[in-house]
Amino acid sequence: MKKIAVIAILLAVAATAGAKEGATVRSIALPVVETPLADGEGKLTVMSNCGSCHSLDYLVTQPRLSPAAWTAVVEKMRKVYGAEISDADAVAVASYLASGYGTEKKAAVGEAAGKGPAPKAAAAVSGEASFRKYCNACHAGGGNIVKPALTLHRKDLESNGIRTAGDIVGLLRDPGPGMPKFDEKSVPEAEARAIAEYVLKTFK
Amino acid sequence: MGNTTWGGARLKDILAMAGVKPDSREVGFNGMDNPPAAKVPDFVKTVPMDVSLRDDTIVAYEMNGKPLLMLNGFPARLIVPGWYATYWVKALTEITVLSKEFEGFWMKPAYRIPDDPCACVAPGGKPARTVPITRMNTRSIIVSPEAGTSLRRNQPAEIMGIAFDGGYGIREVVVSTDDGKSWGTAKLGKDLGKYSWIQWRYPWKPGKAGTYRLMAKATNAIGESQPSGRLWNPSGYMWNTVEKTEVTVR
Repeated sequence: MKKIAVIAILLAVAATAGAKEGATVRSIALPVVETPLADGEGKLTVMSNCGSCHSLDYLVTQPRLSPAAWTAVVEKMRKVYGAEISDADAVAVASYLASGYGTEKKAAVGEAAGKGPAPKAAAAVSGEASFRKYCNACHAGGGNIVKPALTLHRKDLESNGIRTAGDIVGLLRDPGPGMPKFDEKSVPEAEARAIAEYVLKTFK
Repeated sequence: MGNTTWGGARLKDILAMAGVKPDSREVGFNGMDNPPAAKVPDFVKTVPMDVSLRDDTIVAYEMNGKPLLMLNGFPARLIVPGWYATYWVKALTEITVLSKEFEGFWMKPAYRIPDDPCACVAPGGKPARTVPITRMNTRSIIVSPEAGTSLRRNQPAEIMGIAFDGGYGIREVVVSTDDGKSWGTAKLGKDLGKYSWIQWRYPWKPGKAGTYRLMAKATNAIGESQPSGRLWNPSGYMWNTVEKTEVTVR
């Protein structure tokens, strides 16, 4: 069989199950990775319950969560992943995570650098501001990072049957594959229309 | 994250030796690892037939020209270049060809994304349909200078980093030193192949003292790029938002 070689990047999406010692003759010493965690009540409970299956560095490097979101994570670990965490420990783990790695108050230890800016206060309805808030992630400069050919420039819009502000609002409400839906609850009519007019005016 | 030369046998050659029936749909992979707790399912992954038969999908037994080490998956592991590492099953012991979609835990419900080209839904929302996570999206990372670095005015300060995608190759990396207002093209380093990361460099000589936000944005050969804001999905996968590195110039 012919041997081939490829250079490829290995990028983990999440921690997977680690190796476990079995009845093999050979064994290796697994490297110990210690993550410096924020001090607080429940720290050891977290280290023993969570650290026995996966590394703890995502706590330090990933975004902070609300108390409700942390409780949901702990429940997911128990119910979906089968983690054997007692009811009392689950409460202690969620409470430690919410205070050490929560959104409500910032802990000094383990803060990752370079996280996104704090959300701005709600501004008046401006097409440009709303475009930046809702659309710019994928349509900066009128482009399209998901479907590069479908830009917001008039020619591309028209070839897709979109001519008026009303057409654009319709697309926000019912976008089809590739784009999240923006309903009236998240983007009210006036704001949607302001976005549409901004798009038509800006990307000619 | 690592960038490595993998050597091994093509999966398609192994499958051809074993003989694959026409109604085959997926190939399943299991390794020697066992779950850490009794109720945790064994880690088994499947790859669709077309991807299993690609020339570059290999069962590797070498890493950088040497036998695999234990922690890297000795004696052999699956390599699906361009796809996320969840498929790169280590210490392979079983390869099973299946005639229907496998629904083991680590394929469903785990490791799934919204069935949508952006792999996203409105923040907090639930996708109507999900599919397994597969190909890596386009991303760039500023390696140097690090956030919080203090630089000197009128001194050359090269910005360096890496970029990668899911196997089409990086066409361009642009860099901004003014919080995204203007962009310049970075010089790409040696092309090690379409699955490898590529290094890039951008010469910079800040003339004024102050705080600067540095950004890098990559585009791959088919025009896929990076969002400048957040794209949300329930598992937090495939984050490739353009990141900002803040430095001070004195």
